[in-house]
Amino acid sequence: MIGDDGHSQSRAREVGSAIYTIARNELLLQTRYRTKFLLDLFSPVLALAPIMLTAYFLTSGRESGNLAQSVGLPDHFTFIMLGYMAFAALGVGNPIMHYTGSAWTMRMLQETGVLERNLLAPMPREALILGTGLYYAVLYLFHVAYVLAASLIFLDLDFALTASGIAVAGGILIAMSLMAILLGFLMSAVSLVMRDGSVALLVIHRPFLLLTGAYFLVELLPQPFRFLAMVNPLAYAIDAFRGSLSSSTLLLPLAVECFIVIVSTVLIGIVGIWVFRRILDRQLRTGELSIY
Amino acid sequence: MLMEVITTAKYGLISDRRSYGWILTTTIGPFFLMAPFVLMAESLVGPGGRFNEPFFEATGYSNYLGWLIIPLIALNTMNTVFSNVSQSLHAQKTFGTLERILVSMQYPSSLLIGRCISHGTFLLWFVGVLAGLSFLFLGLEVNVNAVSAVVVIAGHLLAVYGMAFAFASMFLWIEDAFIVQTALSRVVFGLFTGATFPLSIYPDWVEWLARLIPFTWAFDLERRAFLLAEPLPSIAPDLSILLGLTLVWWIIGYGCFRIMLNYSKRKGRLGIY
Repeated sequence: MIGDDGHSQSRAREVGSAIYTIARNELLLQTRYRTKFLLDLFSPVLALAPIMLTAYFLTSGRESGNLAQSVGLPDHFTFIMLGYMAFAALGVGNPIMHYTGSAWTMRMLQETGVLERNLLAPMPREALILGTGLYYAVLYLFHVAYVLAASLIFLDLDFALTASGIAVAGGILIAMSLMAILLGFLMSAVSLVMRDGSVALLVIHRPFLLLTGAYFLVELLPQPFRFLAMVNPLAYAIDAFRGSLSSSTLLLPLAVECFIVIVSTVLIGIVGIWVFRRILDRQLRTGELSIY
Repeated sequence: MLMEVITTAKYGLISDRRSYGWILTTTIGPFFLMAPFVLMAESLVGPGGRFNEPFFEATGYSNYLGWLIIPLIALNTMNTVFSNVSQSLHAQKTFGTLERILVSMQYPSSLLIGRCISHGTFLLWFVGVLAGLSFLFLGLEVNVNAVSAVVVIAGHLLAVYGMAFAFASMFLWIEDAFIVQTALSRVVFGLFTGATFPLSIYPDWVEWLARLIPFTWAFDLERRAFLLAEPLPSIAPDLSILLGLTLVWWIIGYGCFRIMLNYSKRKGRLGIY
């Protein structure tokens, strides 16, 4: 038994080391394209600028009569920034960032013909996604950190900070980072099947911008999008993050939203890994894995 | 040159038919980018614009949804044009066929013009779907003067293709230019053309610089043609400025492309590998 434990510990260390190596490799790869890397780092600011300026113009300032009436949070900068921070942790749908995420990495490995070779390495195949996912999760958390810091320093947001609220917000951010990594399995599977990285963008990235209500009221969504947003766990994750740092949540009570976030993270992981394995096995069997 | 352009356009249509994914992505994807912006506006000023008095004062338009949606459709259309023209060069560069193609062409610019023509057929579909989805889900209402609308769209597209030429030159110069082009077309044009807020919120010198971008005039003209139904004589002065700036951008774009192409040939930067 002691031997088994030692073996499993050493195996876990090997897998951990492989994930770290892949994440580091992704970082080295990304830094080779300096312009893209620089824009990847600061894309949330670029994406936020037109949103904030439009919001400022529409209300001739920072106070929105409609938000005050329907949410009880008149400062729209707080409403938008908190939603956007949570959204940034997921890293999906940012229109400035391109060719990012596990799906793009898989696509690139497939295009350059090294995917099959990488899968021969003595490590679980899932480590490939977990490694690239880890790199992107760190990048997205960096986005959240500096958007939060800039908001606190320059924007004087109307936070309702409590110790428990900060703890919940931190927990939700971790859950969302996990979600982002696990969603990578689904996105990679879509990318492998469709043989087109842009389809993952269509199926997963783009709709999330609309179906999460990151910086607008979900109740204003027309059907069928409102229904899709209401069954989208990411909408609850964003609302829970905003609710934990402001006064209240919009969709459901905070505790229920946290429960939904935890359950959906586990489910996304189970379904994502299962689908990814199935598709990878099939493509390895049929020889569809390489493009050429 | 005409034969080269037609051949490239035909090749573009054939190669586009081989992959349907991008059609789906560029057809529905922009709606997912545009709709949150419009819904954000609605969240702030209330459904039906209950709280948008300051908006009336600033712009004189009553239809605030249309005021946002019309330039947003145009902005997304511009982005797809820039992507297509630039990507056609980038793809050739990545696959290593750019040098070969340019050797067989007497006029290198026909590579871009041909691609533009083949992509033009897709633009009709793209704009139609985006406008249709906006009518259906975002409550877009228009009051159009058809003649003004057609002339303004034609002028706008000419400006877009002139600038696309300049962007294509950038692809010969910068290895990972796609992200720069995206940032330029989504951020710079989003911030400095008055697409979603008036330029009057900036200092005078920024506003002056922004007016050198043809799309600043194009968006304004499109709003006037599509929302206020202004007749052609009424928009003619601003339209002539748009056409003048378009001409300047075509000259800049064509000149840049020639210079960068010669430079890339000399330095051996036409292929990525």
